[in-house]
Amino acid sequence: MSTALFSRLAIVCPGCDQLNPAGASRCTGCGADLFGPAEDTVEPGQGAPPQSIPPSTPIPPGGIRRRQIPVLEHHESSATVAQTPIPLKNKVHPAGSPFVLTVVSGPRKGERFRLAPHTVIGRTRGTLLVPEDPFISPQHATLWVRDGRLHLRDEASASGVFVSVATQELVVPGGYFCLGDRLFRYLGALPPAAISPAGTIVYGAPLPPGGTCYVLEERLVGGRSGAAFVSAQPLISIGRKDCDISFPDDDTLAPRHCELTPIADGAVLRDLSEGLGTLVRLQPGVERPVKLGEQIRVGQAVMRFEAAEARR
Amino acid sequence: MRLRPAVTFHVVRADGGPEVTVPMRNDVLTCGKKGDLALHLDPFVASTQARFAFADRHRLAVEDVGGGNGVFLRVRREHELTGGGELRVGRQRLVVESVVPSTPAPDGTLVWGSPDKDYRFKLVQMLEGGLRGSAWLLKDGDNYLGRNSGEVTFPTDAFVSSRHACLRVQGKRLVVRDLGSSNGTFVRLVAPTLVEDGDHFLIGRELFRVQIGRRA
Repeated sequence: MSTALFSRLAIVCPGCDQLNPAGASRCTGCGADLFGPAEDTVEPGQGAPPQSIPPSTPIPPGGIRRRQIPVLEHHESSATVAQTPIPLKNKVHPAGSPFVLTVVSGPRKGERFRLAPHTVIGRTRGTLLVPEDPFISPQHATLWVRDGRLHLRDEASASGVFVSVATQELVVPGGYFCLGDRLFRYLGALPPAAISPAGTIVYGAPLPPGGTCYVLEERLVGGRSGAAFVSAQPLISIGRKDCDISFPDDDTLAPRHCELTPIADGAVLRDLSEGLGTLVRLQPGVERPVKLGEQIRVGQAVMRFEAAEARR
Repeated sequence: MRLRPAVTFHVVRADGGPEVTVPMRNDVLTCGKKGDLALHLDPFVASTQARFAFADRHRLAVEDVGGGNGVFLRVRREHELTGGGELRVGRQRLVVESVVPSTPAPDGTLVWGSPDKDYRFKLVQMLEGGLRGSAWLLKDGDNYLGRNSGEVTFPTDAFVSSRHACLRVQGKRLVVRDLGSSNGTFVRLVAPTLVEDGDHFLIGRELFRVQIGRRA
């Protein structure tokens, strides 16, 4: 469904708001080049072949509300689709950048999207519409390519936008991270127990030995609390087997997928998954650059940021 | 007229020492720091926490009369639990919570998260002082509780047996069954309950057995 949708999207001129037919390169209203002039840009230290990178589109404050240029060209990775407009191995489309997002997990696993300079992902609003994914908010995230890097911003979506942890990253109390198909929230240190003035102490299990306890919670679909883990250990490992928190039946996880080390102002999350990925949720409105090879999660899809030629 | 049976309370000492025996002299017996059955050394026991009384001339009943920490009855065979129900095993106090199904927001968006295998119940560990500790989702079917093996484990609690109890979820029902544990599985009383001869009760850290016999 979305394949056809993307290639058939009408194009709204960023200058005069004229609605142009799909595939138009110049505005029928004002004659402006719909995709802007291409510019030769040398990528700093990325190792990608020099490509023509269209300039990034400035983001208006407060996010994008109206429909803009269709920015992602979508290609089936294997099957030949009659409507596929431009195979990836062909010359770079003027609207595109030399970068793609490859879906590595989710219902559309294996598909590749060519990135354009500026994209708004949403279920009902934006330039890349994903109507079949209920985890994507009406307007979810903004993506743009600048200086060879993908930049991301969460547009206050319900489910959030997640990016790879390169080696390690600080997760603040209340912060979310995901591995495989699982979502976790680090809740920080357990608060001190209230002292009952009446003299009777509320009965419960003694606190785990080892001093300050930290709480990690799994979050279920629908924003609900799932399992919770209380630990006083200096390090909490999560993975498929022999970890402090193990999910033996979950093959989306590495045997030892990541480690969490509580510190004063949060916890250091260390990825050990050897490519499977541990991702942290962005704070809404905060811009975050993503390097080649890193992953992002939007709704059900985990996608890797790659150079278009990397696989061909 | 039928005489009420003789009732004696046997307070079991944790160190295995001799039991303290208290006979029930009237139609009512209270348990607590200031009760007829005095449990004055336990900081988890309120002044009056349980009340034993003859519902009619010959049937003994018990009810929880306050304090917040509950009166727990040892499970003999199996016992059905509902949301809000409580269990005690070893030194643990576990609250059963119902898991509500996920609902999308008015705009149709659902918050992404870990897969939900139609979980209906969750077990939440209560910590001393009233904090919530660890929590476990209960899958459909059998969930084993034990010290080191099973779905719900308490590796640091020496009073939990290696295979202690089984929590079976069948549709909307949750039933707990003791698996022959050394120290027993207890459920919190939610209403006045008839007492049988040999029933064990747990109040705070105090364990006692009720013996009901014919009056000589």
